Amino acid sequence: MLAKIRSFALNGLEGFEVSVEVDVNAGLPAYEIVGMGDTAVKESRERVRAAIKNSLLDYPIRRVTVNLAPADSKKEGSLYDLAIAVGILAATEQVPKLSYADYVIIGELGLDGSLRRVNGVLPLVLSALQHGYDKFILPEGNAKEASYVPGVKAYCFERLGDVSQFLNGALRKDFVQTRVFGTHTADNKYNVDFAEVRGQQVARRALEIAVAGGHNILMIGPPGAGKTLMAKCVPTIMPDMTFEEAIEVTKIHSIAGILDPEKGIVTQRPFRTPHHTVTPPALMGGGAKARPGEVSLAHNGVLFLDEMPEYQRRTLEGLRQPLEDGVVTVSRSKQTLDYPADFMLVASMNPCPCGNYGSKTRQCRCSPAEIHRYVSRLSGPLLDRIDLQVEVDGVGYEELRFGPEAESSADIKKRVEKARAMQRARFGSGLVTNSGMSNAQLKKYCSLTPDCERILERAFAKLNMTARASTRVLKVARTIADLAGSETILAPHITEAVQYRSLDRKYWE
Amino acid sequence: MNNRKTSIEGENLAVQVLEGEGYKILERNFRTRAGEIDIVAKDGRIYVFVEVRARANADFGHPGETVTPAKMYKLAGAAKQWLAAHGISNKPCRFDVVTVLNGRAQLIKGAFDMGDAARGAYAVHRRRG
Repeated sequence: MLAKIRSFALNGLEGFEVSVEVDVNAGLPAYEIVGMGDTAVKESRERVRAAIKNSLLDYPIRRVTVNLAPADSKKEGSLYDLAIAVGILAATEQVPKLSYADYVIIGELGLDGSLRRVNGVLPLVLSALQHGYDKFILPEGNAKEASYVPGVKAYCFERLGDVSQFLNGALRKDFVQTRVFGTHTADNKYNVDFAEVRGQQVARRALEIAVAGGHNILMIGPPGAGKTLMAKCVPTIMPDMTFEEAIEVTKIHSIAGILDPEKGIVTQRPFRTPHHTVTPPALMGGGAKARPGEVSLAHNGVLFLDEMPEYQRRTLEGLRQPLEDGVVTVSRSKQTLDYPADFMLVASMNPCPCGNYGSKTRQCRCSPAEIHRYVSRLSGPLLDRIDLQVEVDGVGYEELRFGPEAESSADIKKRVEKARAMQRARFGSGLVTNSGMSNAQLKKYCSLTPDCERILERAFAKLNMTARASTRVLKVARTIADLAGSETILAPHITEAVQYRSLDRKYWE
Repeated sequence: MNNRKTSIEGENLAVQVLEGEGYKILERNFRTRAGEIDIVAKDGRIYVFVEVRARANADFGHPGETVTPAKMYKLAGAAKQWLAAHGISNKPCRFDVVTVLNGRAQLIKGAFDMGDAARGAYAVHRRRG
């Protein structure tokens, strides 16, 4: 007897249909599985057999042949266990023929017949939906993840025995109710807030501008000044994710296996902090299976590189493509995949090896040559892509202990959202922030008054700017004007924008 | 509890079953260095090499499950010798297995082929060195 069960596989973020064909026929008892499965797929034999026996169902003492079609593309992981088990039950007439025909079946089996959650269910369900399938049989552990997709009828179970009874009509079960996506849930709280950051007016302002316009930012300052704390606060002032953004992020996190099954969807903007020993494949994505890297895990959120000069140079240079395009291309010997990687880069560094150069409160003991060698670990092309650079100095005791409570993240976020609304009104759909403006848009939206033109001209000459640096200044000036609610860029806006580029000269000349 | 008895009774039962199916028994317990064939028979014009697997109970698994690739490889080697000894070549051949459990026999026609048997080569030669 032959049974065909519908399942799905992933190639990057895209899914494709896999037909699990199970043939049970006379012959010596054996279990053959073909169709380019990896070790986890091959090992399904033991899980499926034990799970069927321990669910008090009959495992046939006959020859079982399983084919995962299309036979020429690779299948990975344990997600076919349930489809194979149902196929065996169907081929031995323990579940009625065609009772399973409407469903896409995905899940891993435990030896005791329990169903375990698998990674990547959200992208799998989304692509199955695009192929016109809306009914699913899934492990209970994946229920939340699937419940956020409108139009999906996901029937979730904890045991193989229940699935068998359900297909036999002996167990009634409703599909999981679709959840409405909301960012104002109780678990959408951050454990940091800008209210905890004392002093640091300049850095706070710079971070606000960076978030408002989607600019990248570099903080330079001595150790312990509060760079890391402020970086952690950045997601708290970013606008809430839309449903589409959340789905994009959840897809990537689901594949990477870092999705919280209790939540099922990522509601907070990601904040990724890869350690400075990170390798290029870990940052960009790669490995034998071309997994997403940190830049993709930070998609729609923040990538924080603490102590930026400590990173390997070739690791940092790899950031150039995602910074420019918002996607990263992962090429492996067998496949090339594109993962989204549209993140805001927040970087921090000490100004010199000892960390105290430029501090008002502490002495630096580094020679100029040492300082130069340290800062020049960041290449010019990379620095050019960072729109704002800001110095962060330590805070005095008085201010730290007795200073007034600072403005909270919620208040800053309101201003950011207003500035973003102006940008949306200006650019329409597609482009959302000023940092992504093309040259044509730059010309159209960043025209300068004669006196602003003079300010920029003087700065260009004095700071020895590159052409790219000057366009970056214009974009930042546009964001500052948006924050001020001004349609035109005025002299104070451009002056402030120039100031965030002037550290180039102090450290890198 | 007597494994030898179970085994002989199983083979006798298997012969009955095969004859009931119209097989002509040619030889029983053909022994070579490579291995032993329980029954050599002819089903129409096809030569059939039959392995009999008898078990008193299924406590240690179904008898059919005990025909491992290594066993298949040994049977195939013995079958080749039988064919050579009788000067038979280019004639259709087949491997059947008869399982006997609790006095009930079941015939599996074409239980395996040379491809299945080849997978046992490694296990056999590793053991023999």
